[in-house]
Amino acid sequence: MKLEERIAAGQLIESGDELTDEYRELLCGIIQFTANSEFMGAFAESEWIPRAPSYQRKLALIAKNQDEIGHAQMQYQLAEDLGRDREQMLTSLLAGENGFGNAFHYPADEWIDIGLLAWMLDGAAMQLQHSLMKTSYGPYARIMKRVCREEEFHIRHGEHIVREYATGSREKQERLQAGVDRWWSRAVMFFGLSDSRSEKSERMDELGIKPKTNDELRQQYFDTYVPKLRNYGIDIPDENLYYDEETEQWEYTPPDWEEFNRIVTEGGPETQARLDRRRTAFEETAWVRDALEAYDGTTANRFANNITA
Amino acid sequence: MTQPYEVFVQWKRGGAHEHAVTVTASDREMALTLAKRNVDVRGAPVSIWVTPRSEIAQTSADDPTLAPSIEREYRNVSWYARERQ
Amino acid sequence: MSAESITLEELDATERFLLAIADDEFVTGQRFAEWVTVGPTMEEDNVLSSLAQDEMGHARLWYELIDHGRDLDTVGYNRRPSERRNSILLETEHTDFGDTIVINFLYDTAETLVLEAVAETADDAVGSRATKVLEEERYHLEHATQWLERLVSTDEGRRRVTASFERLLPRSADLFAFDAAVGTAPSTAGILSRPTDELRAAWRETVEETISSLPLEVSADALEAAVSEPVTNGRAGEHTDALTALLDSIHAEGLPADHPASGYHA
Repeated sequence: MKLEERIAAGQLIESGDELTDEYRELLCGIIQFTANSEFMGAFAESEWIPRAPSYQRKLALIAKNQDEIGHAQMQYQLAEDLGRDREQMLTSLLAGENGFGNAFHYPADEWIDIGLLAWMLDGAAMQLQHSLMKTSYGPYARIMKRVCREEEFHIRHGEHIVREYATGSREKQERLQAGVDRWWSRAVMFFGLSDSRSEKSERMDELGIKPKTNDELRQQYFDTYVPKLRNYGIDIPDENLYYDEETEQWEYTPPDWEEFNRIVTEGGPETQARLDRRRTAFEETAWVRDALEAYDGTTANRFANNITA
Repeated sequence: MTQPYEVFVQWKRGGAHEHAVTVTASDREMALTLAKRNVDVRGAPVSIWVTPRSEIAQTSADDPTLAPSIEREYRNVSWYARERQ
Repeated sequence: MSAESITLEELDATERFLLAIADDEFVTGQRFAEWVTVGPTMEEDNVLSSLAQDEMGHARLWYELIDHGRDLDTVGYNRRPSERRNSILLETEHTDFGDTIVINFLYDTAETLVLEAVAETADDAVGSRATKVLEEERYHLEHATQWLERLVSTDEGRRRVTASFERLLPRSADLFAFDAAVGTAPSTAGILSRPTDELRAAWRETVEETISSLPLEVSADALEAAVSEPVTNGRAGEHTDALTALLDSIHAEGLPADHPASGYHA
């Protein structure tokens, strides 16, 4: 069966199937974007590991970052299986040639930023990841199932910090509100431009690669997060936000798309510093990867129990 | 040389090993060590298998020899259930 | 709960011994955590994050036994450098991944020996914890020895790992150098089944065996320094600037005043 017939018949595509160049390109594009976002998201948050404000929070933050690196690993591996080169993908990310989530271009100067990144921004990413559990490429859909299971913990972890601030001292409540004022429009922008039905997004839809549009995902996000934010006594910094009963859609002030475009193409306030730090780490550990490549395996088997025994 | 290793996990005694993740490793011993912390660490595996992907043979798409095309309902319980009625 | 930390005077000899063990784990966890998102490969990054959580989890098990009702942040998080009893090996900055693996090997070899001696003789609360920790230590040692074998497969790897041993062996001298009261009392009180001298000798044997099985040229001086009288003894509260820098980084800016980690305890 041809690829498009299979998709039309509701079949998942598997690694043994013959892919068209177009399908492979579009698929790799979104996989690289979600992989990069996991990676850079972890990178933004890990800056807080040394100074996480309690023993418990530190353990949770390390665990969360571990999950994100794991998610990135699984997705880069998948893109590799589809023909991309892992080093090359990392190199082009580090050279700033490759996109990742807008939120991870901004600084996280306060601890509450870490709570809000986990709750509001992972929550936004979760809308996309959840929809990708139904993507037409089976191996990607399977990865997304594990990703979503683990992301649930990230969101709980973030919400726990938010609740601590919402019910804490006046200073904490003020910092929380100021934090939401900073992050709200970034979360709204996370889903990307309103679907203009560009040829590319049309094809992503037809090929079942991205099952939900940017606007559908954004609306879903409002459904969940507007009541939650209000429940914590937080003012959402958009006077025009309301639910239109007739259209059954949320109306909102369009965010500053110019800023969005600038951030995702030219980078934000923290982009260069983060990419530089990661590039340095990449170069400083090259000798380790070289050693692995040179290892001839002569000492293997000592710990492995032979399963055929 | 590093290459991809497929990781299979048995999550429960009595259960089958199922595919969990792919890790890139220098050899199978290291693949096993990496696999132990690259599977979903919330669970407690009973055992883990790793194998270089290059050692896996795979059927091609729509391989017509995968399943018999001639009716073999005589070996299905459902046929006998229907017959009895 | 009290904001005041434990004072060493209120701990008995066994508790002071456990405090040193806990501080070892805590500081090691902090150093491993520095690798999160900057590991040599993503697969290994995942492992290092796990090791960091393991070590902090082990530290918690011991802190809980000796906290005298204080919370974990007060006991584990907010004690000053001078109140810490970890080996100076573990506070040392990791200058490259070779340091990490060599510390992983030297420390986990020592810890395994100590905890095996503890598990044999200690009471239930201590012994069951030691047994639990030992299970994860097996993985840590497996990790260290496998990496050692692989890192030495290039000239640069051999050079770096040799340099790490040269630098870190002399800093291992306090691993078994518990101060007189702490060092001898546990064995007489029945916490350790073997005296610390014997443990140190067993450690030396394993370390020498491993080094000689690898294509490394580690000097006899470095090995000798590792089993000599420590110049700086973390077990006696003597530490390097590296520990101060590490603990200062916990108490950072960007936090409202009422967070548990907003400063060292009073």
